[in-house]
Amino acid sequence: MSLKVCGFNFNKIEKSGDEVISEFKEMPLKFISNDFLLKAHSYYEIQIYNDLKKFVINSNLKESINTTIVFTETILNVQLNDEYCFLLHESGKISKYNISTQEFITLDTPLNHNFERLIYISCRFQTLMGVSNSNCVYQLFPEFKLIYKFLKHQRVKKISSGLEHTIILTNNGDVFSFGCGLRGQLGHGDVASQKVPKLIEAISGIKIVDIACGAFHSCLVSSFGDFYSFGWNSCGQLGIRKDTEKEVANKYQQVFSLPQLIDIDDETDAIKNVYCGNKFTLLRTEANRLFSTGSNKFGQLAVGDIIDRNSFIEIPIKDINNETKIFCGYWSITKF
Amino acid sequence: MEELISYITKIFPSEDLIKSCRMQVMTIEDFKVFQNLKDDWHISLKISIEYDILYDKLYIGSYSDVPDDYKKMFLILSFYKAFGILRSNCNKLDDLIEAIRILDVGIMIGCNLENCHLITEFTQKVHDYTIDNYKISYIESNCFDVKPSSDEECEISILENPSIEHFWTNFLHLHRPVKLNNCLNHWPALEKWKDINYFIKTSGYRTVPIELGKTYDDDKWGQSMLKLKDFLRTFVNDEDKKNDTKGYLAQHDLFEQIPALKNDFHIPDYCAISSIEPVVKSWIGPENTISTMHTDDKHNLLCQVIGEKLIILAAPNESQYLYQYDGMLNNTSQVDAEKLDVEKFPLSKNVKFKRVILKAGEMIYIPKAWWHYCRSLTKSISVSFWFDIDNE
Repeated sequence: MSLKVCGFNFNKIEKSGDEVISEFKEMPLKFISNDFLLKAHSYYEIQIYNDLKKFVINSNLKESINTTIVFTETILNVQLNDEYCFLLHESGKISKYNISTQEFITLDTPLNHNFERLIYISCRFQTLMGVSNSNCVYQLFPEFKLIYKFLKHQRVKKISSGLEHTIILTNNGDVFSFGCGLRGQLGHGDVASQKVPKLIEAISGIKIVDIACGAFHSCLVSSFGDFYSFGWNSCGQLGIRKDTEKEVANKYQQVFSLPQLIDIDDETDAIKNVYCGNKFTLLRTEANRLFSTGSNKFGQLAVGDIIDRNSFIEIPIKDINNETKIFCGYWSITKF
Repeated sequence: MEELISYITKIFPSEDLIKSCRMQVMTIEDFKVFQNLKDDWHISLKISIEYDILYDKLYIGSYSDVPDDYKKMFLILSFYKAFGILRSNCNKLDDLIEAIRILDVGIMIGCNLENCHLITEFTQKVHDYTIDNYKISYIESNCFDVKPSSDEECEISILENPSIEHFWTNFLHLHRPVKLNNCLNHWPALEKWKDINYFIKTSGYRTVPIELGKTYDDDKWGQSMLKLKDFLRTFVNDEDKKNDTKGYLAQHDLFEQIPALKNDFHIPDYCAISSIEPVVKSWIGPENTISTMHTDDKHNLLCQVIGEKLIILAAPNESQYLYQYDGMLNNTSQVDAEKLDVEKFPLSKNVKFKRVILKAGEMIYIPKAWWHYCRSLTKSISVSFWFDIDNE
């Protein structure tokens, strides 16, 4: 297995400028593994080796946290903020790892794991959200509370969060959003906040198959392979082309509170998946081509420079196939 | 340069501040090491990462809920980040400009908080150094030297430099609007600001927030950070002719950011009674910038320094005819006071509007809660003073 990354460099750096990787570059793995998971936050990354029951924390800015940790129960998902790693285990148990103090705590939930088990978790700036196999959405941290129970036929397929908002995709292709909407990131056509998940009406009737959230923006992919984005376009992360005649009037508009259908490129095949970093967006097409837009401070758009983009640009990379896993961190993209 | 370098010893975060901002990467030792080292790229990188993380936190939730400590820390990090650039590359123009930009963003966030005064002073010195050592391109026109028009219009009382007591008793306490003539004669700004290059020289490289769009209740309204020189050239001198986007330096604490300009005017004695420190805002723009009809919760002395402005007033009891927006813009009317749309807003024809043309050197008192609409008739600079009085 090979691991390629671009964007912020978490490995040892020796001189100024080494923190930037602007083209996909192969990185060594600490162990050989067939069941591997990687996530990256701002100043650190975490590599999970499930078959070896080990995870590695890696940072070049805070060496005291570089360590390898052994765990016992397979990790299904990991969510990060700048203080904690939240780990979702196979049994539905959540553990919280404090990066600075290196302490593990099991998060208490009143859920009886024999009947109801957490299957997804998603982290905002300071709160952790979770979804159970009974279709309930919970806030798990800092305190536990039930947020919403979806109806039986609205089975949750995916959950994704920005710094202060969350969107949820159900199996039948509906999208719900809740949290802070000040930057238009909820997609309801206003900047109001929502306490509980609310159906995004503007795209109801369109079957959505994939979702992702950046810090203050949200992205959707439809079953037709169309791509929609909304929220804060502070660095071009919505991919709204500004150079066409139609867009001149929108030149200075930054907040889009309704889903915008984005025209990627005349020749592009259908979009299959979307991934978001903090302020950038990555698309994967049916033919496994990649396109990126938004903030490019650390080279995370993988196009060979560090210039921000406001419309999608194809990443010159050929070795992606259907098995390739892709993950966007705060300021980086990883593929393996 | 030596003098600039000395500022690093004066600005230092406390351990408590680092803790309360939950900083993960920079430690107090890092700040100390940075102060003493010539050039440490690794700590510079840490500073820049911490800056980026904190920058995102400033946008979480509504700005008024952001803890002051985050803003204080952001200002300090801005200073350290800019300082790092200056210390390693103080001879390149682009680096100086970038350092000034970073400082200005920090000052706008950390305005009026700890260290702000010192960092503002520092920024002015960096700007002066830049102007002294590099050529800046000036604007070849005297577009702020606006000749007075012959238009006269004033549907409110006019006073010639009244006594403070007269103004307080007969206008301020009664919430009666009035135009005050010949009160600003001693302001150096009336002459100095006629030269657009005066601003370029004192603050051309400074970054300021510019409102872009027709009016602030327009859907396409936006805000952009521009260098003052670029704003003056593009939106004031040449104007953006390609589209109808107006650029307006509106409602900005310019004088806190660039205190050197404070010497050019005085806080009017008429607000000496204020229970708060008068809030001074600058309004700089081309012809036809519009502030939609709205109310403020403070008394306002609006002083016209360059050019002319049309002000349309309506008393608070006219609110019923003014179709306020719901929600966040509920201090704003949907009615266009210059072109009444009586089909859409039939009640608006009942409003007794009072029109005033405010000329350079004149001041208008707009009482708290009075509706007001402003449109610049020429290129224009105004300074406003918001104040309040107790026991009303």
